[in-house]
Formats: sequence, C-alpha cells, structure tokens
Amino acid sequence: MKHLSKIMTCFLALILMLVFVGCSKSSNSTGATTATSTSTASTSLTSSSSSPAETKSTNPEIGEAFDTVVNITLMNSKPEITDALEAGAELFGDIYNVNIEIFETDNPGLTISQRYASGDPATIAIVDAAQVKELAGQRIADLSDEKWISVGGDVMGYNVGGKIYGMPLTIESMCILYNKTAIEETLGRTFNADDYITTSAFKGLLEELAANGMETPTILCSEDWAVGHKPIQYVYDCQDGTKAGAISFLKAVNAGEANFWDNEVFQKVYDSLDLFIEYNINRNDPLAADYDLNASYLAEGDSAFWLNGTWAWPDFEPYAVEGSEYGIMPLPIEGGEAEGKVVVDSTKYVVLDVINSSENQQKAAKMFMNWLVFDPAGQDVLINKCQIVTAFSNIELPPTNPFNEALAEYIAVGLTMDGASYMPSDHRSLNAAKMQAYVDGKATRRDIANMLDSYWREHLPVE
Amino acid sequence: MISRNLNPKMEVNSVFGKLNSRSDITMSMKISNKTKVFQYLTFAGPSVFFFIAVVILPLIYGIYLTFTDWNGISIDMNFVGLANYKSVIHDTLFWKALGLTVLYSIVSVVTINLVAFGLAYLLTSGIKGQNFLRTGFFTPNLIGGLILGYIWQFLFSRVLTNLYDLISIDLFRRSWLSSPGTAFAALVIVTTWQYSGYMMLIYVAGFLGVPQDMIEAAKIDGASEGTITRKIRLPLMMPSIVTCLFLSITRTFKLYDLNLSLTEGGPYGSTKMAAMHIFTKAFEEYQYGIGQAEAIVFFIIIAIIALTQTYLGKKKEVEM
Repeated sequence: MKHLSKIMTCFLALILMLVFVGCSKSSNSTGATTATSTSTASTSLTSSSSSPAETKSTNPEIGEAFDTVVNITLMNSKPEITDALEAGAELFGDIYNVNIEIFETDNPGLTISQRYASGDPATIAIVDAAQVKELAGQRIADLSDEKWISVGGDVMGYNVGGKIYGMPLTIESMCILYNKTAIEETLGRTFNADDYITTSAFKGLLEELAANGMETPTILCSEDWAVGHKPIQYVYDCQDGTKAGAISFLKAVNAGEANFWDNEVFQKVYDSLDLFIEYNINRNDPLAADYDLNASYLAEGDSAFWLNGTWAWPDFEPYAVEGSEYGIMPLPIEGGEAEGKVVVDSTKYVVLDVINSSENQQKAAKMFMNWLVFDPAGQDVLINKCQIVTAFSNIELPPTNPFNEALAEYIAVGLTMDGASYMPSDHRSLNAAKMQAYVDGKATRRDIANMLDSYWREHLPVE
Repeated sequence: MISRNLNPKMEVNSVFGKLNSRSDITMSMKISNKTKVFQYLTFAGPSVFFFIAVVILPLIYGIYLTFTDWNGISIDMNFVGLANYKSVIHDTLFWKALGLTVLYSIVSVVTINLVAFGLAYLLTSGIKGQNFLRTGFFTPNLIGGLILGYIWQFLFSRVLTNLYDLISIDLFRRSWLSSPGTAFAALVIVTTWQYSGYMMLIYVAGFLGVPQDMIEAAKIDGASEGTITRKIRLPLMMPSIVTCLFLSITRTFKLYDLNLSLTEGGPYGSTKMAAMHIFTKAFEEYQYGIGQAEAIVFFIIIAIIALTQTYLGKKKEVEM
C-alpha cells in the first residue's frame, strides 16, 4: 500500500511536471531552434528544412538564406487563403531555410489578445485595421524602411503617426456586384454599368427589369456587418470621396455644427439604399437572407445586383455559371464627388511582432514579406493562389477573377473613393443593429440619422 | 464516528500496538500527519492545483483588470479606480441585455423543469421502451450548443418557412429568427430541448428514490395520484429539484454559444444576452476593463440568485 502510494505520488508529480513544461513559455530567444512544431504545415516543412538549404539562396530584394532553420509563426485572419499561404510558406521555407507555422482565426482581435496574454504571439499576423491601430508603437514593428514601401506600401500601408506599421496585403472594394448576362437576357439588349451610376437611371433600370420578368433584381444580405455596417460607411465614404473629407464631416457632427439628416450625401445614399430594399429578392423576410443563397441568386441570374464587395468571390465562385459575365459597379448616387466611384481600401494588413520575436525571426518575417512582393514565385502565390488584388505597383500579374479584374480597371482609371478606416471600435456594435431594423422596416431614415448624430456627438474619428 | 470518541492515546495504540512512551506517540502522530498530507496531495492536490490555476487565479487577475483601462492588446495598462464600474452603471445596453437574460432564464428554467419533470414521471411509470426513450431525450444534451444552434437555425429559417408553402400557417410565413418575439421563443424552445433530457435523468433518479411502500400505503389510505405526487413525491424529491433548478439557472444565465449560433443576438440586437454583450465589449470594442467589470457584476448576480435558490430549496428538503 505504502509503495502504491509512493508510485501514485511520483506518477502525479510527473504529470504535473509535464503540465508545467507544456504551459511554460516556449523559448524564442535564439530564434534558430530545430523545428519541433506539431502543426500540419510545419510537419510537412520540417523534413525539408531540418538541414541547411543545399544551395544558399541570395536575392538582393529578399536576403540571404539562413544557415540553420528559423522557426516563425503566422496568424492568418483571412481563412480562404490559408491553403495558398501554406503552399507559399513551404516554397519560401525550402529556399531560405525558414519554417513557417500557419494558424488561422476568424477573430484576429481576440486571438492576438490571447496570444500576447499567453506570451506566445505570432511572428507575423494578418490583421484588420483595428488591430494595427491598437498594436502600433508598442508590440509591432515600424515597417517604414522596408523595400516594399517604395512600390505602393507607403500609400496603402497602415500609417500611424507618419510610420507604416501594416503592410497592405489585399485591396478590396465595397461595391455592387452584378450579373451582366442575366441583365442582358432579361432586357434583350447590351448592359453597360456606366450608364446606371445615378439613382434615377438605376431606378429606371430596376423598373424595366421588373417589368420584363425579373421582379426582384436586387439582393441584400442580412448580416450586421454587411447590411448593418456597410451602408452606414457609404454615408461617410461618399462625402467627397476622400478620407479627409469624411473625417472633416464627422468632426463637424461631433462639434454640433452638422447633422446627418441635413446632410445631402446621407439623403442620397439612403435614396439609393431604399431602391435595394424595395426590389430585394429577400424582401418578404429580409433578415432571414442566407449569404450562400444570395450568392447563388446572383450567380444563377435569379437577381441582377448584390450590394456587397469584391471579397465575396470565394463564396460566389462555387455557384458561378460558366459563360456568364459578372462585374462590379459603384453604388448609384445622384451627383457629387462619389458619383461613378467604387470604395477601395486595403482591408488586411501584415504586421510583425517585436516583443517576443528574436532578431532572426524578425529578419525571416521581413524576408517573407519581401518574397511575396518581389519574387515571381511569391507574386504568383499572392495574385494567382490567394486571388487578391495587390497594392504593389511592381506586380504585373493580372487579377484572377471577374470582380478583381473589374476592380483593377476602376483603380487604373482612378474612379475610386477612400474606405472608412477611422471608425471607433464600437461603431459596428452600437449602430449596425438599427440599420438592420431599417432594412426590415422597423426603423425610419430619421431614426438612423438621429442614431448617427448621437453616436458621433460622443465619438471622434480615429485618425 | 467511533474513532472520534476515542482517547488520542488509545487511538494511536490501536494503530501502532506497542508504542507507549510520550515521544513514540508524538512521533507516530507526526508520521500520521505526514501520511495525511501525502494522501491529500495525491488525491486532492491535482484538482486543487488546477482549480486554483484555472479558476481562482484568473478570477483574481480579472478583478484586478476591472480597475484598469486595458484594451485587451495594448502594453499600456493604467489604474483607473472605479471608473469601469461607473461605466457599467451607465451602460444601458448591458442592463438591457441583463434584463433580457433574467427573463430568458425565468422562462427557460420553468419550461426545462416542467418538461423534465413530466418526462421523468412518464418514464418511471413503466411504459414500454422507457429506457430507449430516456436515451433519446437525453441525446440533445450531448450535442454542443453551437451545433445545436446551427441545426435549429436551419429548421427555423428554412424548413418551417418552406412548410408554409404547403400548409399556409401564418406562424411559419417568416423565419422565427427574424422578429424579436419569435427569436426569443426560439431560444427558449432550443434551450428546453437541449437541457430537459439532462434534467429528466436527475428527476428519474429522484422518482426512483421515493420508497414504493410509502406510495402503496398512501394508496391504501385512499390518496389520489395527484395527492401522492404533491404530498409524498415532491417533498422527497426536493434534493433533485434543488439540483435541477441550480443547474438550469446557472446554465441559462451563462448562455453564449446558442445565442451566437442561433440568433447571433439578432434580429437587430434584440436577443443579445448578457454574456454576448460582455464578449462584444471586451473583444470587439476593445474595452476589456469595462467588459471585465460587467463580467464581475454578472458573476455576483448569478451567484446571489443561485445560492439563494439553493438555500431556500434546501430548507424545504425533508428527511425520512
């Protein structure tokens, strides 16, 4: 019995020791340890990178391969590109002797907070603007001196106090997605989106489509981020098409010098949104709309216009009909600076941890960023595998899907507006629900104006 | 019980037989204490360690965070005194969410326990296939709240609305999840479906614990089935009732997963419960200090309600 007790004690002590070891902070001090990670990605990389690269690769734009394996981690908050990133990381790792372990999250704010709290942040993190804002100057590196800054990184990178803290990963557009084939088949004539950039022209088109059998030619989502938050952003974006113009208006509201109801742009945007609500394919039960079904309605031609953005392609693609033409156009608006322009913004940024990452790890992370921008193989990963529109002018590969192709054309001719990246972090949680109620007919335009007035009286845009 | 009444000297002698001197007794008592400590560490130590590590320490750290302006990410963390608690008082959305949570809990606790009690009554009455039925009713509890939410979301938003095309009952014309009243009802229905099977098992144990001879004696005395349940079963099943009420109150108050997957707080924020509001505050609005303060207030409220209920329930327990 006594022996049994001793054995039990030793056994439990051993378990506790293992737990302690498991919970303790992994050693990052050297940054050049042998690969022992357990993720699928790293497992596949370990064998290829456990020995120094056979041929020491040197590329002036990227850097020199490491002699021993450098392990870094990458937090990806854009799950649809994880597979492509993993393939790219393996390719890069083989050449430069870097083992990149990728993990994904759909809540970057929460995950990054947890990682920092546990002392195990990712070396590189793909995050939203809100997280760059919170991390800048404290936990993430100033990337202002990186090579990619000179090829567009300075324009679209996330700037805090004159320094670039976030490398722009992807450019996306908030716009109207349309099915050209379905419109032309219904109308029996050629459709040119440029002819319908005003509310009055667009209204006429919707009436014509309805009269010709497509009774509900528009599609609205039900999600609060889509139908609750984005329409409000249009009010800011369309002020004069610039970030400065929007901020100036919001500051005026804050100071009590302006209000939303008397704002011409507010009324124009809501005139346009009302058309979408009136002709919505989900109008009998707008808040029960399903995102995938919406994608299928547009792709298969049940409806013609979807108020959404270019990010919808991965969800849209499975329903896309071969031979059908799809495109993007601006939210129709009657006159003003916003007429005929789509909202364009960098929606994901790459940031680099400086708190827990060693010099080697930081160097490896910067090399990976440069590889994506300057190496043809990296560019292929970015444009063809991840299917994104890039901010970097040196990349000449054409976009890969109809929405991105159309976006590239808008960017090329300069018909773009700045996206709203200055909203406080509680903007969505406090305002989006009321906008959903508006779509469902349970709130009035006046209610929305009053809500926005109250919100901006107590908040200032985050510059 | 017997050993407690023994003289310590006698007790030690009984254990060690030949020990007589004072020093020997002291020595043996020391060994005995050491063994006790070893035994405690062996059996309770790991549990205590993990309880302290994952419950007590985070709670203490969480309380500390309520006095700071930490946003959840930043290195900066300034002491702000009671400012976060003042913000909690002025956060009308929090109190609205808390009020809704209380209402939801009251309705759900009643429905869960009524359904569970009814099922337990039926499934201890000797009906055919009662073991199979017990398993069937318990199964929903094995499915996680998130999965349950998505399954029922499909039912409410797709299946029932398609049913309307067949039978044209106005109740199914729109998705139950797209108007506040029916979305709330949907939450209650799914919660009841999820937990009543689990509570049913506890009630079944309670029913089986009631002595049959007492019920037979009551029947001989002419008591009706209703009187037997009211006067005999219910008082004797009070421990089961207290347990079920405690479990259902705490579980419904802490609702998050089902809230997220079934209604996502919608339509237009009308079903956002307290836990979801706290999560939004801490992790989406980056107001961690306020979110944590709201969590502490929420914790205290749940603790008061649950402990009061347990205390009152225990007072009603009877012993045979």
